[in-house]
Amino acid sequence: MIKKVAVSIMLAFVLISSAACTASTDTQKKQHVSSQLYAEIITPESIALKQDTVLQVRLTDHNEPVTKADLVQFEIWDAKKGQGQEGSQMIPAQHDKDGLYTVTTTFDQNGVYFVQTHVSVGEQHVMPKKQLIVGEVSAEELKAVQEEMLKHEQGAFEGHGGHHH
Amino acid sequence: MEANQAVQTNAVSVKTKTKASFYQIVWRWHFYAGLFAAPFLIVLAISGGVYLFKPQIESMLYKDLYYVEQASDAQEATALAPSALIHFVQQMHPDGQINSIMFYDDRTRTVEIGMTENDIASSVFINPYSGEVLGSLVSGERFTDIFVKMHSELIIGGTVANYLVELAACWTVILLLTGLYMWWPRNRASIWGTVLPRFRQKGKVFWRDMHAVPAFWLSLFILILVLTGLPWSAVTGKQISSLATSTNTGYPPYALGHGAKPESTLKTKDVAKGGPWATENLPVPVSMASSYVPLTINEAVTIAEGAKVEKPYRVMMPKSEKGVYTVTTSHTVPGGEATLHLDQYSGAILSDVRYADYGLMGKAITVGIALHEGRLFGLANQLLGLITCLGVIGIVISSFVMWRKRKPQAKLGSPTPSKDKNRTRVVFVLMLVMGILMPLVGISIIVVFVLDRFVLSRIQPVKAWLHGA
Repeated sequence: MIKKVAVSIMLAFVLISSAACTASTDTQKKQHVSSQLYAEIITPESIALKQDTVLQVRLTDHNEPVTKADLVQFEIWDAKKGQGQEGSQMIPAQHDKDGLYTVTTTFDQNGVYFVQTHVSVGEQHVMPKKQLIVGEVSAEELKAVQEEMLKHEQGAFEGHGGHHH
Repeated sequence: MEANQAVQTNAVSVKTKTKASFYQIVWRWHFYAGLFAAPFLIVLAISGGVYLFKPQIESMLYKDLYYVEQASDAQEATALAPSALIHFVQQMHPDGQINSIMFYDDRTRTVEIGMTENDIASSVFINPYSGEVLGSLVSGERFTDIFVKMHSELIIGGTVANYLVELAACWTVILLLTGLYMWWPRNRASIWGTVLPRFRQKGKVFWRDMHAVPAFWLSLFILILVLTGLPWSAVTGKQISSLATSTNTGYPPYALGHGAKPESTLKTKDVAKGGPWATENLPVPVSMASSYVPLTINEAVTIAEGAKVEKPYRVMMPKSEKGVYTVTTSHTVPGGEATLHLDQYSGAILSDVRYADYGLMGKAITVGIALHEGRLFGLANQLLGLITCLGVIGIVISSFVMWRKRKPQAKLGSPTPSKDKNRTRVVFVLMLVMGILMPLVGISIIVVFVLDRFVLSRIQPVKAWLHGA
């Protein structure tokens, strides 16, 4: 009797432990989200002042062109002014062909600009941004602008300023 | 008829003899296993018992760092941008490299910023409403960290200590099984001495009950603590995770924040210098007319919130130009886990793994760990853990008393070996089966066996002391 109990306790332990080995090898029910949406911002080699400038973004999903994006917008702001409601210009882009979306804009001042594309395709969103240099900008100017930009960036969250009270 | 009776009598006596010799053999195993495991069990029970209450202890000890002063303000105030918080910390620690930022679900909690300065990792705590830096704690030097180290590596640290803890834990399983065998009422079922101790008895019977009865009651809890602790262990833990991987029931790829990560898609040549991964927070001027700029921490946080990641969560900064923003939650109760990897240039969610995506074993291990750490069902879970820890200490003490009472002056006082060679072998084989399931047990049995057989047995005084016969 006791021997049986002892043996069965140990056997039970062995069985429970090995049950895991033979447990169902179901493949994962659901493939977890993994975005393959890619947005390539295409900007001219050099940008001249006060002239129509074409900015483009090429959208691909799993290397296939995306022709029916739900939202494609270009946000452009002067680095000195910072991103935000006052400083940013938001331009919806038009689909040309083969996943290429275009806007036309003009830059009125020399300086460092940022262009960020806001793209939605179904559940996927991407928002890459590029830094643009318009006209002639000296290295010191560039550095000053970038320091300034850092400050703006810090205040931009939830529309509230970011310094000690 | 007479012959039949004779057979029956014979059978009874054989049966009694069987019981006795099995008991003797099992007792010997229980004795040696206990002798080895007891000191570790005491250390594990004390350190574990303290660590269970980590949230309460740390909230009290580090109140000034963990909580903002004006709790009422926190309900009204708006938090500053994450980049602003990082900026303030950076100003106070110009040489520090910011690695992560952690947001808690309690509005009165401070924001915790992970930083490395002069090769020392620490957490800096900042009031998210005023931007005031409240102080910092060096990683691994918090009060409860000592107990974690004691619990997993016996403070001395290193692989050997880690193996010893695992070995003791595995031998505890054998202690439970052999103990339950001996506890099983042999002669007549009585609640006294099985489920209730015989308080009126004195001496050996009393202490035996003080050992066996609580041990019986706690056996399931002790077993659960051992099993849920094993995923951390070096040998068995590795086996568990490879089993989970091979059966595809563990964690999906990129499920863990500290593991492998996907890469941001951009080629480095297209990238402006001075991303969040750079030591300097300030971008360096670039000569290229146009170049991609990494997203800010604010944008990463916005994306995480948009993907319905709930606080508390930590955002880890990209570590290189090809790195990603990694968002990991740290909920106390399993179910809300999420690990996201964001492309640092486009903000694309490269990988998003939630608790629901875990395989069967992944879920089981996650729940098991929460149970082990007393997080699964609040205070009741912590108290159950504490009772088990106190029980383990009591069981060790009562076993020690029983041993001292029996132990002769000049000998170890081990139970006498059984003369029944066959049954000794049966039990030995059963133990070896356990040794296959728990490799460290198997190795230790073989080592002890070889040592005993070929070395210790030849030294007569040692043999006499050790084996008691």
